[in-house]
Amino acid sequence: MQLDFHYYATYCAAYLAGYSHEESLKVCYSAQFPDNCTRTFLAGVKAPVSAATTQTAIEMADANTDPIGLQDITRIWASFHFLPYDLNADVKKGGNRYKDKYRLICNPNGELLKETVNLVRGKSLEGVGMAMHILADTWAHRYFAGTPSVVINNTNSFFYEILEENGEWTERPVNFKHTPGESIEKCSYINSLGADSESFIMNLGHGRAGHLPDYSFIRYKFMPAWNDNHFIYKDNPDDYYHAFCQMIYAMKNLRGEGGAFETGVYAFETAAPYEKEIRAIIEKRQLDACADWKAFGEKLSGQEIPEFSVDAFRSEYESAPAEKKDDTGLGRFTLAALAHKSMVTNRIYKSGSMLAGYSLDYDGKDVGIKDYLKLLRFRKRGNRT
Amino acid sequence: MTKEQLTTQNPESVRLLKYRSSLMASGGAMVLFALWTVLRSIVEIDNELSTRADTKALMPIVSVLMTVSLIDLVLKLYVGLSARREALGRNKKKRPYLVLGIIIAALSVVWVIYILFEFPGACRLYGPVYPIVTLAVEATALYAALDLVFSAKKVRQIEEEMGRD
Repeated sequence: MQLDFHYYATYCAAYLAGYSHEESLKVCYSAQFPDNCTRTFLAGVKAPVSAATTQTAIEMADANTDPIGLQDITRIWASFHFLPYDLNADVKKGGNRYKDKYRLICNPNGELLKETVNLVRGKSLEGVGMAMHILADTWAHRYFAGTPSVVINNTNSFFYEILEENGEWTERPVNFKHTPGESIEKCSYINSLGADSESFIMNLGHGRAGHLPDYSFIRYKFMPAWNDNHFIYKDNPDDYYHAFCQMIYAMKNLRGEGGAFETGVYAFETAAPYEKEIRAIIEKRQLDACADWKAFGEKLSGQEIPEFSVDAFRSEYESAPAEKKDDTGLGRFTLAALAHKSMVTNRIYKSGSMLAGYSLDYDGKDVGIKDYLKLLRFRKRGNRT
Repeated sequence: MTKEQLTTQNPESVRLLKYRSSLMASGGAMVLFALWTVLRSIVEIDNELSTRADTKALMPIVSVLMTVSLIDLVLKLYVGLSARREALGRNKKKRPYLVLGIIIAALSVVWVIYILFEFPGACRLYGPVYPIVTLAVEATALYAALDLVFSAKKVRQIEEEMGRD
């Protein structure tokens, strides 16, 4: 997903879940921020770089693909953009390395999603926003894994867009290329370079399928190597609507409506009065739906939604005194990110996979990677993230 | 077409894709082994000519060897490329490559059996590395040939079944 859904649509979902305009802005800002919170950014504002939730193209090009480097990449991408569905999936075929990677495949409504949402309960709005980013991405990025893998993430020539024209359904091959410029009419999209090397960075996530998983309007089918010659049909409009309704349910739940967060529950009834309008935005054939979502959000709240800018977090964090940095938006976001990254790393480690590295038990209760120490110190001071 | 037709697969089409994928791989392997055979023949001929004093006497054998290598190259290239075309669904009419594939597989069986018989003697003469590598390569070529024949037959069988439906 991209800015249109993570920022503007999340604003709409937060507002429908009962948050005020100001609260919704905080939530949607933090829902978009995982796509901007790179090590480069964090280092620039002297924030803990371990809280990075994404990597720039240059950072990825510079990343080592030795086991330590791959673990770092996996911690970031599997935690925040490709949340694994079932870390204990029963995989019949293949070696242990393949099985570990297969278990990182992202899908909605997994156990980890439940933990992700429940982890931010009663905590900051920045944490809620971050969790909404992860939740929404489980729908958009399903069937891909947040670790470089040719066997899991590669695509082949079997890749078709499925579209409806005047009530007639047709399919046409998707033309992938590596040069700038995408055309919906010509079904021409950019994807990452193909590489046979299993751990090559180009085989990370949905790179080989281009931005297709990020476009709400598109329906397509493709055939990943792990699916035993069965193609996968991806209905983005339907998935995005589910993501929207699940975000409303999750945020309602986090606001105290009805016990612990459960998977497979959607606030369809809350979205129902707007369903036609929401589906129209989702299904409109455009590469960027920001304007439509913005207009819908402003109609909902009657307030203006400012454009997203990373500078909002930056200036507040930089101007805060050292002892107050954790109380800024970025401070709360980084603490939530560290807690979440530690939780996911721990679950992957406990599933018997070393793909995300070691996870330590610090005090019998708190677990995580080495970088978790900052969070641990923060908590020991009696704070809650 | 309906959305249902475009977004669901029947078991036959899954099997067809499986065997087409297999045919594609074994066709590619056949092409590679064709090139490998030529390369091996050149190395062996060069080896023989450089170690013998009287090379003129060897010329008839060398000529026969080169002709056989060329025939082998053409046959395997034809079979391999035809298999790949069929795997892509581009064969408008059924080509006779399957018969040639069966012949290549049969000759490959004979060749592997011969290598197995000669294996102890070759080990004594050249040491273990050369015979083991030769056996491994030829066994792989045999597997590719058998897989090609099996996959091609399965593809045709499933296509016929689907055509009948």
